[in-house]
Amino acid sequence: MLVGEDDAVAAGADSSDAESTYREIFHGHFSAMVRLAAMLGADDPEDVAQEAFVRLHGRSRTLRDPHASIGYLRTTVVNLTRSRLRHLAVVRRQRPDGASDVASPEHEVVRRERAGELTAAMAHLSSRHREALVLRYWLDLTEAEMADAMGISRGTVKSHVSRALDALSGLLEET
Amino acid sequence: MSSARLDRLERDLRAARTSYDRVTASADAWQQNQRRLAATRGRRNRWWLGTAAALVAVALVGGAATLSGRGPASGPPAGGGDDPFSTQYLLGEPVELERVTIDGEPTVHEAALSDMTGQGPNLCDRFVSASSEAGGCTTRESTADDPKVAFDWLSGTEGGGDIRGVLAGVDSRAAAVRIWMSNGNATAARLHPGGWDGTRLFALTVPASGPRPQRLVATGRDGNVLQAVDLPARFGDQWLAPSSACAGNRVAERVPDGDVLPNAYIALGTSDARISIRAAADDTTNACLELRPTAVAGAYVAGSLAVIVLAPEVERVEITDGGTVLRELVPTRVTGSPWALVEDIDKRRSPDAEIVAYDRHGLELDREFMRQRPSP
Repeated sequence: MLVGEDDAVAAGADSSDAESTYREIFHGHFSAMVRLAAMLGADDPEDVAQEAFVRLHGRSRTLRDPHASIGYLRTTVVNLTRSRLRHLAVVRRQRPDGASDVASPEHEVVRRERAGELTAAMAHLSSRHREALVLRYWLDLTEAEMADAMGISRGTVKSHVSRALDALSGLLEET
Repeated sequence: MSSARLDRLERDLRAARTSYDRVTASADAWQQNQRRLAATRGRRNRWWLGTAAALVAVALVGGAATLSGRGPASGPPAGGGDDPFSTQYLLGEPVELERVTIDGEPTVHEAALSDMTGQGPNLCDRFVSASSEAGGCTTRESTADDPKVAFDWLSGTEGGGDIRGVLAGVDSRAAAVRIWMSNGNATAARLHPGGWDGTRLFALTVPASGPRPQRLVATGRDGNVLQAVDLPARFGDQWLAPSSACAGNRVAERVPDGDVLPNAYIALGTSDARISIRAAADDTTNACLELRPTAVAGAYVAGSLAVIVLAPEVERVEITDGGTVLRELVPTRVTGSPWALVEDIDKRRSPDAEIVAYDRHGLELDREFMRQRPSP
């Protein structure tokens, strides 16, 4: 089948619409994705968010559904952050002695507060536990949205959250 | 945790969210994004081209599973910390293959077909527990387009020696896969849609301390054998706890039972068989037979006597000579191992006689000349 001029114009219009949608989603949600990456413990949250948007840009079908786009972005941020944390863990194991993370005086002040204690404890949780708590309590996602973002079944969301709370509670007791 | 403590923890958690209010994006985030898009456009174009080539190949062969135009399978996705389960790379939805306990922790085993390089799908899996995650990717078999090959992806997991796990993807012709364990038990694999070209995925992970997967048999819709894979031959002898019957360590035995060869004792190991024929009280002949991964795993022939060790997918054996079928025999399973045996005495056989092994469907699986073996 030959593609006529009308089809070509329609394809061009689709492309233009997709770019427009992409721009809207970017301006509406980029900061939120940076924040999500930060909450999950990414070393460079803005870089993670940028990469997530670049990947979204390649998915024109996902872009047609703004709700699906946000879900896709969240999942990508979660996955990218998890991968980067794994990479960081390897790097840290290879770092010479004496290069441990030393808290700044400013950080110590924050730690005295409850919120500071919590965020510090969160940093010691496993990626899965941290994801569960961030998505549940900081993003207020539904179980279905959490399952999508974490790539797990809906049936296991509650147990992830429960185990994460237990782990967090244990860490707070230690401090 | 008490209810009051839980309530407080949840309240504090929600309140701690404000700690991230100060996290903001750069003022030029949009411009940075546009520069990144321009830089990655070339990579994405190559990915689309790879997909288009595969689709053309399918169309040319009439939609069959053979992608004759495909290039070689890609290597494991190179990393940079990239996640093969990232939505952009996935060719189908990740599927939960099984739930297992590893190091005392409930663990979900997931898999998906993923293409990170644009060079073809890899079968990637991950074991996810509450505290850890591990996984990897397996390239598509270089022979996957051969009609004799149904297991297009196949890999084994040893997990530090505590587990044995097999992970595979079969092509669209496979209707069932039977997993034969080292103790002779068999289980039907649960096949899950892989989301690409009719591929279906399965896995079986077991503690290394128990029976281990030894042989996989894929069958088509008619029950015909598409392919059988001997896992020790594929992954090395250490895949099973090695046991040599010839060295006195049998895994199973067939004791004399008054059938065809009432004086024969046959001990089976994981890779060999010891055959002892007692002619008289003080006259016993011993032979050691190395077992191969083929359907006719081994045959001991001495004069008119024959002992044939067969793979579990063999349902019927013919002894033929010069195109004439001398005998038709049904293998007997040996309890405690996946092997089966056929015993025969026939003075009519010539040196050109052959063993022909068939599956349930009557499809010829293997054939071998009944060469005489000198006594050791």
